[in-house]
Amino acid sequence: MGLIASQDRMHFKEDSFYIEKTLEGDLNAFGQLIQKHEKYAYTLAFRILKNQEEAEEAAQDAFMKVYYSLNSFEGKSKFTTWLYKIIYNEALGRLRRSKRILVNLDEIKDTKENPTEFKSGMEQLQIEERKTLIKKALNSIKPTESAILTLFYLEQQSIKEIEQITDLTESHIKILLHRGRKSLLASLQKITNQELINLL
Amino acid sequence: MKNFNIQEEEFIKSLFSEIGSESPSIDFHKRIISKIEKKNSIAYQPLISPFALKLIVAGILFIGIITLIIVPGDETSISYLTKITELTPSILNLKFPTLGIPKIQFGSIFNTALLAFSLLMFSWIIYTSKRLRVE
Repeated sequence: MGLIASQDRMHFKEDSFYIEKTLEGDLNAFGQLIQKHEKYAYTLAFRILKNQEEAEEAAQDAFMKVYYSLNSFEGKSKFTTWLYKIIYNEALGRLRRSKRILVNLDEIKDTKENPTEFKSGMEQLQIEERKTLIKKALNSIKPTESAILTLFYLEQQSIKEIEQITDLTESHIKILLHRGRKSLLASLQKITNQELINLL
Repeated sequence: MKNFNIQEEEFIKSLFSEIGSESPSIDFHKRIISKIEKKNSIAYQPLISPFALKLIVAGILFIGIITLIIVPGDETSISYLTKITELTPSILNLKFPTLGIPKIQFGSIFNTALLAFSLLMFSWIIYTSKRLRVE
């Protein structure tokens, strides 16, 4: 588990502890398990659906599914991998039902921007403004790319784990990561430039 | 190029660590737990256990049989219990003469209503069972 994620979950016990207790009928233990993972589960759903309410509903439904199929969790993979797979599928399912466009790999052109150029621009902005801009940029990229980037950088899942979560091939994930990075940087550059122009 | 990629990678990493994770509403976990509790409480649980149900059916049958045996049908007849003493080889000829079931005559309106009710009941049972199967 990544550093950011593990710091957030430090005061919690191992997943297996809560799983065992939940299977014994302790609903409070499941509550603890939700609290341990809710932020990252919700973030993943939010990156795909890009809507607070929908993301909460998707995450809630996913946790319900987790509860009712917990006895089928064999522990072969990490609990988070299993949880994120359910969240990912639930959020994508909702996205498909709402008929929003998922991903078209050929749509995004490779940009040749230099990160250092707008890095200095970014540094001129206040922390909160920067956060807002980054989130804005993330929201503007395709849901699958956003989800893969979140899994890789925020949840710090390995490519193998992302393969299990998304049921995509390794090469497909690498393409999505590459495209995602490019789209994020392009979007960020565009937004930052606009913001800097507004500040001047 | 490689240097550029590493730089890009580090930059994106720093972006993600900067924004961190999103937070759901405060009572997020509580809402899930209450949903589960609600769902669990609605789950079908028979009020009477199968064993108790069998016991009740056996009790009703027992009472019925005892009634047939002990209670005489009318004032003139004698109970089957009394007849048992008289019975020796003719056990195969057992009848239940003591059971005096009154013959009830219903009117045609009542019969029609009963028929209509039975038909409606029958169609309702079919509809409900189909709906339950679908659910």
